[in-house]
Amino acid sequence: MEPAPQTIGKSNFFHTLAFRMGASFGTLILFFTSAFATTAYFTFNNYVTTSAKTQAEATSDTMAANYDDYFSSVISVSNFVASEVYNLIDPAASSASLSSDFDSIIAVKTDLSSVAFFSYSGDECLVNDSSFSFDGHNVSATDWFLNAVRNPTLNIFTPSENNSFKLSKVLPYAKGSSMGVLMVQVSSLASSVYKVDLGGGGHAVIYDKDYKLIYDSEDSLLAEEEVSVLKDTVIGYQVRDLGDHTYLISQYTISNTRWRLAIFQNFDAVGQTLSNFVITTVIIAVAFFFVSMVVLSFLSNSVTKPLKRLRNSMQVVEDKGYTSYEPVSVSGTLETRDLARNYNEMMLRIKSLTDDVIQEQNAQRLAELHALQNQINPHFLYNTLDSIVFLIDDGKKKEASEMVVALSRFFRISISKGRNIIPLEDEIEHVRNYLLIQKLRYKESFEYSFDVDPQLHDLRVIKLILQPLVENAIQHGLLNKEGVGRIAISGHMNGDILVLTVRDNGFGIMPDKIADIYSSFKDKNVYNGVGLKNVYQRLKVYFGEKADVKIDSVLDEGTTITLFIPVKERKINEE
Amino acid sequence: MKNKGLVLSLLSVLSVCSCANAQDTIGLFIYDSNDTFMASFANSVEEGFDAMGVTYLFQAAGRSQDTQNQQVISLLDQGSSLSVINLVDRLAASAIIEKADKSGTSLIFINREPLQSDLNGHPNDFYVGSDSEQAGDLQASLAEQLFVKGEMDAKTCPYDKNGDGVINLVIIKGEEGHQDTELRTARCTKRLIEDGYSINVLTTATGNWTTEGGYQAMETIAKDYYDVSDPDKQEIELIYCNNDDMAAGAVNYLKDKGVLINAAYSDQPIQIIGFDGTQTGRRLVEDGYIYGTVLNDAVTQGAHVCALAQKILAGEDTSDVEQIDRVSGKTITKSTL
Repeated sequence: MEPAPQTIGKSNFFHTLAFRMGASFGTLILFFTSAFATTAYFTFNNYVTTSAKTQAEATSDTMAANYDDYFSSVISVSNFVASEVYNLIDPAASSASLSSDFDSIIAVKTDLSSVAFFSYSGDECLVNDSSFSFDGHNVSATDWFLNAVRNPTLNIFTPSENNSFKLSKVLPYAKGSSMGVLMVQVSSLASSVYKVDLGGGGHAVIYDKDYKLIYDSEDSLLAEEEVSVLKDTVIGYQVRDLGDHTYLISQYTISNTRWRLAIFQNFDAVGQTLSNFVITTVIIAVAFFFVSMVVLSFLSNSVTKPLKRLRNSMQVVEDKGYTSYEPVSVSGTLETRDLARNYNEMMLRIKSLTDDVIQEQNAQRLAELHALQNQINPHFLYNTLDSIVFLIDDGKKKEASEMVVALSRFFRISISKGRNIIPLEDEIEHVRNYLLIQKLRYKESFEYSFDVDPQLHDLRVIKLILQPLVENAIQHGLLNKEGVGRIAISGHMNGDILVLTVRDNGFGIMPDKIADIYSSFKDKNVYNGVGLKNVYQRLKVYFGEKADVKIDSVLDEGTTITLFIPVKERKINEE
Repeated sequence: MKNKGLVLSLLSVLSVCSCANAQDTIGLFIYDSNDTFMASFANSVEEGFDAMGVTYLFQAAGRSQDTQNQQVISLLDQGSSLSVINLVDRLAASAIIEKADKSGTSLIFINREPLQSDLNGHPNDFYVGSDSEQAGDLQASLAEQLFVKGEMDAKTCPYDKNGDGVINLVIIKGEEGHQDTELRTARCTKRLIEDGYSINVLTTATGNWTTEGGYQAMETIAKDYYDVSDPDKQEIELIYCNNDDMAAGAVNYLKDKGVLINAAYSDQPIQIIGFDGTQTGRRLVEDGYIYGTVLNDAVTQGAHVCALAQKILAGEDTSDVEQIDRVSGKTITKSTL
């Protein structure tokens, strides 16, 4: 398989910085928020449930103790009567005083409605309080009587209608020689026992071992569902949902009775508190998560937006080239701002360099073309060759030989193995050969001189910068001039700048023409113009802004062309 | 979360299992640590458990059935295969049995007997204790050793102080309404009547099983029936006490009043019969302050409990074991000490 071509595009969202930051920080935040929320919930839940349960259990315990005390107080009546009747020898004789004792009991314990002591056969009421009237009916068939006789050591509690109940017990009397049965009628539980606020739906229930309801503080019935819940725990505590409410259900035995007590305490507040807590926690966690993600996306955007702009700009440059480059806006963090600024600078630099290089290449190509055209100009070559033939015919073998050598050197340096940068020495040599050839051709019609410090010979300059100037001087300044034409070529350093001058004593240049030449320097069209413009533009490309060309001319006196070359600032190294 | 919950529940199940297998804790719950007899009973059971090498948890309920319920439930929740329980309130048995059935825990009730109807249908639950009726009979037989029938009929019995052939007695009872109180009290008088004696129960008083209670009960009785300085008010010939602690209280009172003297029982103006045969009771017999006591045999009962416990823990078939095991008592007098 060929590897897929690499693109900077949007193809893989999962590899983007935004996604990775979002995913990693999001996961981290999600993990920590949920870990925190969960821990908080369990701690809070445990604390609230435990403390609320402990408190509720304590309330139930107190209430159960009240019920215990209450039944004990009823049993204490039975015990009191037991000790009273034990020493009773003749019930008939003592009936009156005992009856008043019974009256006192009822007067003190207002929840009791009657106290009566029956013979063991149940057909006779031996003693009773004054409000009780025995209708003469045999009581021996009643549950309370039969149960008491069946369990002679127990205080028997028997429920009767309207939450009331009876206590019955076999008691020995006449010093233990006879037995009777005591009956205490309890009309209702003393209000103090159950006056505890058990919350909405809360109630206390007394039931027997078969879970048959005996008493309910709220006069409700023991629902089947409640019965099965009670059967689950038997004794102890449990928290259960019943109907619309949650209850703490506490189950007890009631001392000295065969009955049991269940207290249903409303426990909704705990669930409410917990669910409030859960809701609050979830809201905070979610809000925190979203705020974090917003902050994160803002943060990641501040990094990725500028990067994306850079990327898009690069893509455009890649697709369409440097010329299509437009500056990228500088924004985001300090780093991305720096990046964008540097990118812009870099791109501008690249663009200008590229432009320069293109321009320079074009200029050079043209210069070379011009030079080659000049050099292999058929007239230049024919004339030179004709001159050589004349010299040979005239027997001037030495001059002929010099000219052939000069022509050969001229072409060698022109080509310079394709290099653009050459030592100053070679450039001067090139001009010297040119001048030699021209001078031989034009027969002493001009003279020339060189004044270049040999110490400067090793400086690197671009080639073909002097020859066009000298050619101009001969063509436009000296040919057809009366008298001896002179060309002086000099070179010296002015600070860091190499100053080369070509001076002639020719016709000079009209000021209008000089202005035209200067303005042609700024014309980027390289195919338009003269050799001087070409030299100027190449110097600018290679040596920068400080490079310059200056034209000084006085009509009929001569022209001086000066080249200023900051040799140390050469920008392009292509030796 | 679901998995976590499952793992947790598995862990708890495992820990319960390992607990039940390797370290089964047996409960030993008594109604009050201040009761001399129950302390010796518990001690005897503990010695047996130590000998068997089982781990047990001993707790006293301070006479509160609610407290005891919590103690029992807490052990049942941990998972226990057996609990030995001395109920505060014997009527609480049905609820505890129902609760224990849910965890398959066997119960041995001691000293306070559950109702037969509560034990019915629960073959894993047992009772080991004294035979209260027989104990009453034994108290009566002690009285009959003093008040010899022939002498009483001939009105020549030396302990029949007024020589009327009738035993004038008082009874110091435990808690009013308590099963043991009722059975012992009823039986010790009834038996005398059945055996042809003439008795006169002067009065009864309750002493709540304690020495102080016995002292106060004696004080109350003496106010009406005995005055050392008034020969016409020295009616009491015999005192029945439902236990030895109360007998000790009564003795203390009578010694304070100079009725009882440091002498043999036969020289005392009043005869006293205790119950339980505890260390306290034996010393009183030894010192001649009381004639005798009935041994409520803590050692034998403890041994019975341990033997039954061993069977249950070994997983042996207990279907042929009687659910209710009433251990007979013995009389203790100076001659049988």
